[in-house]
Amino acid sequence: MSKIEVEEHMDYQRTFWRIQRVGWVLLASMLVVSALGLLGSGGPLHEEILGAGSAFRVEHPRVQRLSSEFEARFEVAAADSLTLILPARFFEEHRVEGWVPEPTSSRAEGDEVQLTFEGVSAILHAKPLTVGRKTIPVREKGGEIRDMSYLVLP
Amino acid sequence: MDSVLRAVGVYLILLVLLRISGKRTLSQVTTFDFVLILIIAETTQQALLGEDYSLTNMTIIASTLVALSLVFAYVDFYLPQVSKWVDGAPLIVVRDGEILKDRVRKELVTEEDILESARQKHGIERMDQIKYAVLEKSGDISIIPAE
Repeated sequence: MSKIEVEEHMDYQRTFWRIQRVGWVLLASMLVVSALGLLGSGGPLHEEILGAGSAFRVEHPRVQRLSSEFEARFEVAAADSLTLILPARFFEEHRVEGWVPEPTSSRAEGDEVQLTFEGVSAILHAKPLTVGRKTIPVREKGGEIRDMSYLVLP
Repeated sequence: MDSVLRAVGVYLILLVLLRISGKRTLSQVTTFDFVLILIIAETTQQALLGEDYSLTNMTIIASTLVALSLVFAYVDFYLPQVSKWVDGAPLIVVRDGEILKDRVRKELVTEEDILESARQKHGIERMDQIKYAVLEKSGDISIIPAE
């Protein structure tokens, strides 16, 4: 009886099976990390709260995705209105989709932009335009600075 | 440039995911596989196109995908040592009517998969009528009947 002419490459096959099993573990790990919210878009660890219980509170996602809209919330205690000061580069690295409520005034000063809102809180809707780690210092006028630090995934 | 990078990224990510999922995942289009293909196509569309639905973008992306396919075809032809990492290699899973258990377990191929293929291709009724069953690169199972 003749032997079948099949090149099996068993050394390759055994190495590939090992790599494949590692791949399965990585795949499962990615799903767990994603379910926890560490790859953006919801999950128990999705949001970071800065200044909880203080006069100026900021809530923002820890991880964002390129060109996907995210929401950040800014709130002051014991004030009639909210005035935020953001670095101008924030507006170069993000496309602002809107504010709720809309700012009653906005003014550029040097490399900063000052936005004033009626009420004590404002919600920002924006899309990141570049990938990588971002640190955006947000200041409440006359108050504290909060560093919004997050990763933008491709 | 962005469109080319997106297309290459999506192609390579899907290639790696499908390779680690094993040969059998998309070899037979069962109802489940069909749904999987539809969902993967839908989820990758947005990542490929972004927000640019222009004819130019479509042409760049399609050209990139065809070029990648050509590159892999050249690799397949001229660099067989590299090619097996991309495409896989055939594997004998039955020899003289004996299932090679370690291999079928690693590839998640069941005895029923082999017998089904044998029935469909050669009207074979029993395992001992199979001389060789080969799990091909495509995930298909080739059957060589015993004489």
